[in-house]
Amino acid sequence: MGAYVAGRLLHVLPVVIGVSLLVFLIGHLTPGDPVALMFGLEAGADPELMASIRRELGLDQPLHIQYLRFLGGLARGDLGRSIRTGDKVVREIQARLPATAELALSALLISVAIGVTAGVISAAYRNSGFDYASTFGALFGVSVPAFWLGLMLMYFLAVRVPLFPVSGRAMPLVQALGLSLTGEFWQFGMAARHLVLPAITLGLPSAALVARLTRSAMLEVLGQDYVRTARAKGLGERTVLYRHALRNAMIPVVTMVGLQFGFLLGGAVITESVFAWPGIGRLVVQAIQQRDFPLAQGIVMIVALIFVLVNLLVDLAYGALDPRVRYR
Amino acid sequence: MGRTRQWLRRLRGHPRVIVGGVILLLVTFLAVFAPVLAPHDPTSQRLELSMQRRVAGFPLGTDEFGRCIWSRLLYGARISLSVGMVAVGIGATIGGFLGLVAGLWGGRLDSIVMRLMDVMLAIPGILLAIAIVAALGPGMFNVMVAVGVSSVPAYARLVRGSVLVVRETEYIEAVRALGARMGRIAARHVVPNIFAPVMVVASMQMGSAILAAAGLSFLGLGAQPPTPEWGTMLSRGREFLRVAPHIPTYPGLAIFVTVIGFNFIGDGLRDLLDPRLKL
Amino acid sequence: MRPRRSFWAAVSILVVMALLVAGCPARQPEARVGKHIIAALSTDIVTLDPHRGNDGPSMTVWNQMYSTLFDLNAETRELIPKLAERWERVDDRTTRLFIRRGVKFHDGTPLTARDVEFSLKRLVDPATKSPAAFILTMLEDVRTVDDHTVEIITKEPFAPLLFHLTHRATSIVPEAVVKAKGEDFARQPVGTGPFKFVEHVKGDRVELERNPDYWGGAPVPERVTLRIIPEPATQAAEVEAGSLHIASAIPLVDVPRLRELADVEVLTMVGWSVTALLFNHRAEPFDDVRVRRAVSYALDRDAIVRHVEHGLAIPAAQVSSPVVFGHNPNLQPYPHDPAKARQLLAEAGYPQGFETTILVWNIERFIRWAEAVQAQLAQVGIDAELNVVEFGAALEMAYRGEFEIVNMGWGCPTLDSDYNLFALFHSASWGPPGNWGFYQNPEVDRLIMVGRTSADMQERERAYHRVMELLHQDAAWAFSHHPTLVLAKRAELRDSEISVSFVYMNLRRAYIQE
Repeated sequence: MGAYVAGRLLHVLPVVIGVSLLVFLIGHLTPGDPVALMFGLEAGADPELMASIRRELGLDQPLHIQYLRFLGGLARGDLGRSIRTGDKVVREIQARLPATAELALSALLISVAIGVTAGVISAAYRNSGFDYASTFGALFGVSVPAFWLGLMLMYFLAVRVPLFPVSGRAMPLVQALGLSLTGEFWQFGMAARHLVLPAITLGLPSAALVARLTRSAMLEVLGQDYVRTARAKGLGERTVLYRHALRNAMIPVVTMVGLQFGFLLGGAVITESVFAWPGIGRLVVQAIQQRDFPLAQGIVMIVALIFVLVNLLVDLAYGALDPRVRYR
Repeated sequence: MGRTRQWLRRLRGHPRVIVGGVILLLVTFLAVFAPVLAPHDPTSQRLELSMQRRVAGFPLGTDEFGRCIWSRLLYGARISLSVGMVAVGIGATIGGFLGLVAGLWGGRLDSIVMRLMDVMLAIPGILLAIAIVAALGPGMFNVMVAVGVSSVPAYARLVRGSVLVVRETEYIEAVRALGARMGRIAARHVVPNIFAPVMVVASMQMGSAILAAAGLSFLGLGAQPPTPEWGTMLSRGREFLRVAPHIPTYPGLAIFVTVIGFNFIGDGLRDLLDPRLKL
Repeated sequence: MRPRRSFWAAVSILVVMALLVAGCPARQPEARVGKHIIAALSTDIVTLDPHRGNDGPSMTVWNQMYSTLFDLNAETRELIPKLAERWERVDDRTTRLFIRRGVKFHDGTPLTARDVEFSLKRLVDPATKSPAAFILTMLEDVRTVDDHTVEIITKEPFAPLLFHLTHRATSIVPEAVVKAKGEDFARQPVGTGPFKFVEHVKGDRVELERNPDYWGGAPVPERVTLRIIPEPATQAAEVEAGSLHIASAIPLVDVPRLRELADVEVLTMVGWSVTALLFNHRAEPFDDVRVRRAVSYALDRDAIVRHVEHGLAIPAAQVSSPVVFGHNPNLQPYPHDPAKARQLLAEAGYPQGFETTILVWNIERFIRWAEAVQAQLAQVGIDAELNVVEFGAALEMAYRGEFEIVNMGWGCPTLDSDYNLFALFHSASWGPPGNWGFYQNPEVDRLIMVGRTSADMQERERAYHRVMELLHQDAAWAFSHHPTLVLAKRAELRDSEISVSFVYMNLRRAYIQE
């Protein structure tokens, strides 16, 4: 097992380097001048000053030198400075990654809870009314754009019936938990309430995907010999469903949940805009549009790294789900 | 003749395929005959008639420029269907080819290709698409390319997996033992076997491609105006959600119905072609 | 049927959890309602250091934390003395400023003339890399005469100097603190403004608190929160729900709806900016004045204002809006006259019209406007394709002159036409500084310099009025409209002052009526 993990980690390295190269190339082949953008429209731009800033940022160097510098910084854990704010990229990411992590994890929770339950029932009662309803609901879920769902939830559950706050993030959930331990329970309530609508907006489309996948995985497993054997042995339907079928059907589902993590980060881009959630999704889009190369590269690198690690964890989770999987 | 009847009989057990097929035939029909069916030029403006929900001669009302929403939806069907097809075409062709090569040849080539796919997969699809559109510039064709390219790894993985399964079957081993060349094996035996799973994924991806285009247009990276693309109509119409909800709602419904059509076909194909297909 | 039960169990658990969360007491026990004002910014601030940025959100925050030497009365366009109490002209290049006594920075140290000298020099120092350094490029030297007197010397006579000293990038910072903190000044900023910095949660909000020692008297609000809310629809929803007191950007189409709500007020005021089509005077056919005029005749400005801007703009005949000094009130926009436009095109040798491309920034308000413009140009035979490009890429193309027509939106924060005219129409500003289309008219050049250097305000005004006429005759740009500034606020927020721009929002006397 240890050797397996080591081997997988070794695979991570070329992927990370590949991501860095890809990200760097796309960034630098993109038209648009970060320095011009920094100066904005009304700057009466002074070409000399702009050129000197470009020099200082190393933007006048040949591409391969810039890339090697970027890679060298990466190795030291230094992602450089944001062109726009002049702050360290690491700082910018630290400030905003937790908000996205909070949102993505809550959304994941919602999508797995709803998705797996609906998927299992659909499979157990194939072609029943529930199956059709859930398929339809799932398709609705995947074909509803996040901004539409978000604005609707906001309108009905925050403006018309003020159950939840309209937008924003009160404070980090962890901090709120800490405060509620000291007796200020309302702090946690406030933080959690802010999270509900964005988490649903982000989680529902992927709940739909999880439901569809669970359904088909369950159907496949239910057709397998060992399930038939279990049934033949006279085990209760419930035992068959949960002990045998669900456990095995979870393997593809867990795989997809890992892949969904990337999807959630992507969906966060729009959800964060709608709900004024101070996360990394909004920041990366802004960074790309502002041609803030160091910031955009830094964020994509971190996101890619997280994605790779999450999927490594998913692979390890197979072992827990399926005793037949052996790590060599 | 007998074959067709046999097919139809098999279809009867799969209402989803029928419903999905009918939807898509309808959408295709509308797209093809848009110039005949549309009461107005989809880009002609009548500002004095803007944002009307009910107005004579405009079946679904008008948008903020007084353009006929129904006509725009009809012409938009052409664009959205091509978004789906081109994006999926790019993804399935490139991804399928890479997966096929990696799966058949194996060895170093396999690991290079698959590491490359890992790299692409590690960057969330929408970010990759945003970056590609930023590099190429906004516009419908670039959006199609971006959405297509970001789905390449999904197909590559799928095809490679299927190829590996097929490759190990005794029957291919037998052919190989007879001295058949790789290319021939691929064309004759492997491709037909992986066709089904690719079709299923492709049909579902059509819907996601249309939605991805809508997401890009939310970020201002969609079709060039005044192109009547559904995703752009929907996301730019979000401003009117409270005041003239028909403007974003009709394109939203059009996308919904079309996505359902593609997904039903995908679902149905899976049941029809191989009920045990793993996705 | 058991699995179905488990589904409903899961659903009810989620619902119960949601209700629990919803039911949690979420209000601070000792809520300081009434003294806490919440306003919205559309994007995050770039920096808290006034010499390191040039964006609206940052300036809105600086305006609360720092003071400039002068302020402007938007209605009368008169200077209001702030940190400079009085001024006198020594000669045509030297202005002496008397700095207000008894002003303290947030850290308690008194403001001196040396801080003023330091701040202005810091802004223009290339090492500071301020994107707003251009505001004071005419500066030759700043000299401290004594603790409360400072002299500003310009390279040439520069009439609008004091107006430039109202720009928020000329905010005064404490020399000692900036030197001691270096880079960290941007994280622990210190100014002389009515509110002190508390914290900046990146991407989320900026928190400020009352400065009881403010030289103009202690402000009423105890706290001010500036929340970052990018989506206009969300800002509107926040104001409706009552959790936001001032929205800086709302969908224009929502204005009539919001106006009908009892507890929401919509503020509209004539803005300082202009929206226009900028021609490349070096590209055929726009080197021909008849073609440029034809474009202007083709625009239906009234329809654009009514339907595209939802009535929240005024048709434009010139670059300077009515709030800007130098606006020529006698000038009328080109009337909408497609026949005349077609005739002019025919005279210019394009009886069948021609094809062209309009470069458009990917900003929703500009895209929508360009779409209407495109349809109106088509009416006279001009087949214009829209090329919507990200702002940064568009800027790069415009700098290089790689366009035929580009959309333009330009604001005038000094409220003095020099800010518009020199950058946009003087031949010395060709290329990146602002005259992207290489417009040239020697008489316009001369009059712009008269306005720039004359000390006589009436002479300046006459010069600018004439420039506006010449630009109109030349159809240098096709001016479309001056967008209205639109803000929404809660009715219970009283005594907030906002004029011309959200940047100048003044909350010193504001309070919430309970």
